[in-house]
Amino acid sequence: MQEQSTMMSTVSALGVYNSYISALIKENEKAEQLKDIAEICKSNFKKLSLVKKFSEIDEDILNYEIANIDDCSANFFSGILAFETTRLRFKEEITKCTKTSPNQNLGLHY
Amino acid sequence: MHEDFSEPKPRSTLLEQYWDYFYTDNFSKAIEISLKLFESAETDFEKDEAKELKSKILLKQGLYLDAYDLIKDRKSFSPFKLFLEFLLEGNIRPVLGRFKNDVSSHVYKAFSSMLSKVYWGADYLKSNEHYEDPDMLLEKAFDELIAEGKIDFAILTLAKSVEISLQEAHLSKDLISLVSLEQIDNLIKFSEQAKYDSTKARLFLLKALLTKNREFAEDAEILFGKDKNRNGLAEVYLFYANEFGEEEYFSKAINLYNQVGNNIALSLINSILASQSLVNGNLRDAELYLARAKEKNMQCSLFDRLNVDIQELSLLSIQGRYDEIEALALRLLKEDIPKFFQAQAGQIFAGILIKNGGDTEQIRRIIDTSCDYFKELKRFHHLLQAENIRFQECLMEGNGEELKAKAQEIIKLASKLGNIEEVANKYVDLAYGLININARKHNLNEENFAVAIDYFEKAIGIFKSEDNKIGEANIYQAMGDLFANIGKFEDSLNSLIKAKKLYKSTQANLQNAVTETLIGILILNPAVLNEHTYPIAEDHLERSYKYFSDEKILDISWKTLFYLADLNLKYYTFKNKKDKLYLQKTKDFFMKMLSAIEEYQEGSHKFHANDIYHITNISIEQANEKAYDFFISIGDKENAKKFKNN
Repeated sequence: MQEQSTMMSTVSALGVYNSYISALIKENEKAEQLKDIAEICKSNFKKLSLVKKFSEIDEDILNYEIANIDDCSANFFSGILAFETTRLRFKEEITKCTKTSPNQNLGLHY
Repeated sequence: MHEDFSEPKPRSTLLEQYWDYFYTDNFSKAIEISLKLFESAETDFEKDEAKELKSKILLKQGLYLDAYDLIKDRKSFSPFKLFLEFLLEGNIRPVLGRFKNDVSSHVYKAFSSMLSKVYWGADYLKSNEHYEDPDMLLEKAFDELIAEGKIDFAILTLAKSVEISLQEAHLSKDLISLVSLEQIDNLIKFSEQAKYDSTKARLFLLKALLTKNREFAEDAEILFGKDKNRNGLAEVYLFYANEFGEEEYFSKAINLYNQVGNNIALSLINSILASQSLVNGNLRDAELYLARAKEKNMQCSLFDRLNVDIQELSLLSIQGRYDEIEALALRLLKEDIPKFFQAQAGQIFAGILIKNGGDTEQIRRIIDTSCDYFKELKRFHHLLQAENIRFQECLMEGNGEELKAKAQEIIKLASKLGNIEEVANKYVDLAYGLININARKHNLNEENFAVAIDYFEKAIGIFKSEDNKIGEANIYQAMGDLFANIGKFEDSLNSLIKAKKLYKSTQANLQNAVTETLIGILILNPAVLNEHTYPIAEDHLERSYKYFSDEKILDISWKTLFYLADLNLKYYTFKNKKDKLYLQKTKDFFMKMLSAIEEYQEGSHKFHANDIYHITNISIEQANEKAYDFFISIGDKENAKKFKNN
């Protein structure tokens, strides 16, 4: 039962994920035409908003994964695999269109 | 920004001057202008607006209560007043429905819901039927501000949003920082159109924070300097001190913040210094800094005040002041306290209850709730710490299989978070825990020890590769304890000395003192104690006692005195009871212990303290009994009685 609900969550998360990827691709295409810096800032802000939402899905899945890792079936694993692949695609989309280099060591306490 | 006092200025000129001072953080001048605007106001609305301008400066100075008092009777609609109400109460529910559809409402509503999400979680917003996306609100506000020509405000709004989102603990931090950095670079380009260098400077400082690159902060320093913005310069100095350990900049920042009157920043600095002192085990300093942080943030937001409360709870738990811990923890574990702080208080309190052999059900309830809240808030690094308390709870229950499963779960989470050091910590805890459980079941054997040593060595490898000296020292300390328990005293001493050296080199004073106590206790063993080792033990125990006593760590303080008495008694016997000096020393240390126990019990009578360190595990009853027997053995009934009544 729990496995089934985990599967459902993974599938629905994948759906939301894909919708974020589509939105991101559109935003990136649009951004390429922009000349006005205020508009570029706004477009980038949308992108940031998408990444934050994407990240939340990421974290939800992590919870399921931890809760079920010991007794999950092959189906569940394939769900996770699809999820990982989609996540990688999202990351590629982001990095492809971002001009700055990544920085992983954040610790803001401001 | 040049002023001419010869003739009254029209309101529009005064307003322009006010915003100049506002954006360049000249608080006193901005307040001066707001008062002039109030004096020249012709309508109630103009008076309200002038008061709000002053209130906005008071907010910047961290005087939220004064800021609110000034405008609380305002009749006309003010989104800023709602925002202040939210910050002071920490609860979005009463203000949510009162925002409107204007640009200020969009900004303040968005910030309120972003902060709510950070401290209460997304579910809390949903339970209040708030589904509006704060990013959409900010986007609208950005458009409107640009249309009104308020470029500086528009830029700072988006920058603030980046800053708040970075405070959330996302797992995909790499992606978020990537896009955030791009956003800041774009905003820097856009700031060519901004009126103030300070606006540009803030962006450079944010970029410096994000990239941990000093050069960007230096750009910010130059730009703030051009605007004579002392508050901004202090922010840069704080960055140098905090991020690069350039401690001399703390006093420079404090000096400037004092000049401009920025209470919130002064509270933050004291809070940072308190944390540093806690880490270094300088508890008296931590107490002092915390008191200052509290004094300075009395008027700040609920979130700021609760942050300091959590720090205080950490300090009290290190000091072993249990009654105060309980009172403060119970105050924080209430429904009207944001979940982030409830979860932290629960984690600390559960840890203390475990240490003191508290009620198992109560412990489980508290720590389960903390873990649930951290998950809901997506605070995975905090969750990791809370799961460690759960691990301690499993250890207390003594089920080896459950303990292994819990350790594996934590190792998985730590690996996901890329926290390799936590993986190592768990190897150590698991090794130590399994030995402990086996010891309780009288099931210690060579095989158990080999497993434990294997885990320890894995962990040492990780810590060495990460250059984490404290982690490495913790293992040597645990190994010292382990060897002592199986009678390998020389191995134990070598491990403890290694631990001590590493703690000392990193200025981990509390752990250094604990290790010195452990070395002293180890030498108490008849197989080790002799004329060469006695002075070593005495030296170590006296030094650690001085530290515990100075730092008011009362629970370990009386124990160290017990061991000093015991050391002298044993040495007196070793010397065939001929040297009265050691007899006298035994008496003196037992009497000192009596007062130390009294002092300790004044603040903690409710608990029976069990030390977390296995080999220092002695109860007050056992210590008193030993002292009683000693005084009876030397025919001093009067002093012996004192230990029976205690």
